[in-house]
Amino acid sequence: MREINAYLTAQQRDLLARARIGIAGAGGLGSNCAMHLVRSGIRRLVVADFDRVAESNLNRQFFFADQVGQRKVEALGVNLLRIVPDLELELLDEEVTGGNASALFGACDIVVEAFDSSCAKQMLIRTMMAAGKTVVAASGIGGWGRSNALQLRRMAAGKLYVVGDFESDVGDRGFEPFSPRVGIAAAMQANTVIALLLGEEP
Amino acid sequence: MKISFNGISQEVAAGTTIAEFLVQQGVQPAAVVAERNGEILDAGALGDVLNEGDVLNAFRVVAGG
Repeated sequence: MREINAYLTAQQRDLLARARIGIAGAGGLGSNCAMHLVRSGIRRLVVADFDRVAESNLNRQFFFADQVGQRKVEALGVNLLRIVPDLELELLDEEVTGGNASALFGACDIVVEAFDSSCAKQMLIRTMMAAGKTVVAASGIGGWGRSNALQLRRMAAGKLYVVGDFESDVGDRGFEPFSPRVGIAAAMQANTVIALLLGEEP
Repeated sequence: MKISFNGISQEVAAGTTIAEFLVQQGVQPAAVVAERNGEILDAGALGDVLNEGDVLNAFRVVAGG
């Protein structure tokens, strides 16, 4: 196996390489979070998304212009394998629902919630909590600026971590997603996953 | 009676449900994920009555990624 994290101990590399991480949604959060995880030494990912790459996604998502029109999970798989060629990827081109979420992510140690609608986010968090999974979610990260407002909140006795700004009215302003702020949140989600796997309080 | 909501102590009338309390706080219950005493609540549990000393946390689930 190629090793791009020489500064981790062998035990730390092993912990990350053996973990299986679910990515629910391969958009701005999910595609960038997956990229960070792979660069950090994660080798096993289960990625679910039913969408195709659109031109409007290129302002923030980990895809390229020549991938417009391709299935997101397939394009993301190609891009991740360009970073590390021997990943173990399960690419699920389907919609995650309350009925199939537990089965799709049942083998995962941690699930990253990276959906783009409030309903889907709530569904995944509740379904995964009921299944006893650890979830790293995100909420309210559109717009730009206000970097210091992005925080990590610990809930459900450490089974749920949420990245967001927790401003009560953020959803009302209609902020569109842009690369830097979505990228910060995606990186915070990946950062949280790595810390949890290495046994540290994120 | 007193409960804790998002880390702040609040006075609540006995018999208040979680959903009623959230509305009092200006929060739409359908738009949040909430936990009571460390357990994430199903949407249906928002109709449950708050108890003295409950630790309630809720965050608005807003899309934007």
